Amino acid sequence: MKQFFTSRRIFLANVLTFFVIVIAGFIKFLIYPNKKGVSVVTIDKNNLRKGVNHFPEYSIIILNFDKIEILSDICTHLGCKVNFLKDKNIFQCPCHKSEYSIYGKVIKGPAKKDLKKLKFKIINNKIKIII
Amino acid sequence: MKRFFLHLRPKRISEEALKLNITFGLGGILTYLFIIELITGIILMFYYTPSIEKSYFDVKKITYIIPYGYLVRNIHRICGELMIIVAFFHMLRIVLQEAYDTKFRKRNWIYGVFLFLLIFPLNFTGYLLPFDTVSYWGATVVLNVISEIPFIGDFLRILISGSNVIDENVLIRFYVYHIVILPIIFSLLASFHFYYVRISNGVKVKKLKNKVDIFYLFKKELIAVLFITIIILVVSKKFYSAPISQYALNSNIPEIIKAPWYFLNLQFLLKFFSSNIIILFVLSYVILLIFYPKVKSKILFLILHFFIISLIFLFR
Repeated sequence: MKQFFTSRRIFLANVLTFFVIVIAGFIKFLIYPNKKGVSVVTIDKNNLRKGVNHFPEYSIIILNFDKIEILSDICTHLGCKVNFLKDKNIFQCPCHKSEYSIYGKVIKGPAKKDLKKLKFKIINNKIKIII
Repeated sequence: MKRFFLHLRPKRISEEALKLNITFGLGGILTYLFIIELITGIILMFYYTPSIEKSYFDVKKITYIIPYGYLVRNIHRICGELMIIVAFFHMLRIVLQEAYDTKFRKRNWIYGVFLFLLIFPLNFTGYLLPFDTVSYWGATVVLNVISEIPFIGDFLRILISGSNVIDENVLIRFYVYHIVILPIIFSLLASFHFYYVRISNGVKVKKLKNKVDIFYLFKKELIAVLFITIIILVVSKKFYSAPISQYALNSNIPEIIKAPWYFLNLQFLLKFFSSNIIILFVLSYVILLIFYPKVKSKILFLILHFFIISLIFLFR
């Protein structure tokens, strides 16, 4: 304890260390991991229409043509949800007007990557999608 | 310390500094707007809960059911937006009159720049609180821009918002920033700002002759305060209503999502440039503002701000 106050330099170094530890702890407190668990959505295949089925509540798009394909509806530019425009047959992002074709390929706009494809399984006419 | 408090509100003040056509009272208006924000903000806190289930419906309740709730909310919003405009004109006045000549005034310019820049996060954190679709996606875009910074982006995003998606964590953190942290920083910086105005002999005036009693200033301030209050009340009662769209977590997606007007230029630029370039733009703008008294080029300042403002109107 006596050594703690012996010289100004040691005292300041100790105070500084204390503050560094407190700040590091505070950062640790702030970045408490908030991991989302994997959720599985089940949808009945018989309920699907022919063509594009958009489920914004699960943020998935099910393309029901010859075979089933499933896309995420999150725009790859900055994460808004895309809209399906029926008259133009494209997906459009409302934030910065990126446009995707009906198969999720980029047509126009700031987005560079195509819409993300999601994995799924079909068991007994029920589609299980891992989000 | 005693000196600091005495200088915030001195007993006597130079008569020349009170002429309206020297300062147009813009700093005083800003202070007054900030006080209005504090009062209306506290009133709004009586009915607001920061929770993703409740906050949207609380804001609706304030707007449509509680007597005069809409008025308080309108005033809170309009004064927040007016602060940006008035602060810009305040800065413009300083630039045009070259009022950064002494050591203290140069230092004070930096405080002013930080105060100006703090208004934007203050407005933006309040913008998410109603938790409607527009603010939800606005916050999503801004946080995604932050997380695309190379190397430290994800860490910064978690540090600021506490989550990878917009959820209750983000809402509560933005609430805390909006009502506690940012206003405290703002008022601390503002009091240093006032202090430096006073120890550099008030606003820029060539000769200091007569000094008048503070009561003289107080009378003038009272008239100005009444005048501004009436204008804000009339505007927010008749001509302005703070927007609220649909609940953020319902399944409808709006056709177009527009940022608030003070971020429309950034939204417009994001259509053409990647988010890292936008962050570089913003950072270089901040650095230019801080070191402006060394550059001292009015034309550069005016052209730059002409571009920034015109980008707001280009957005469709």
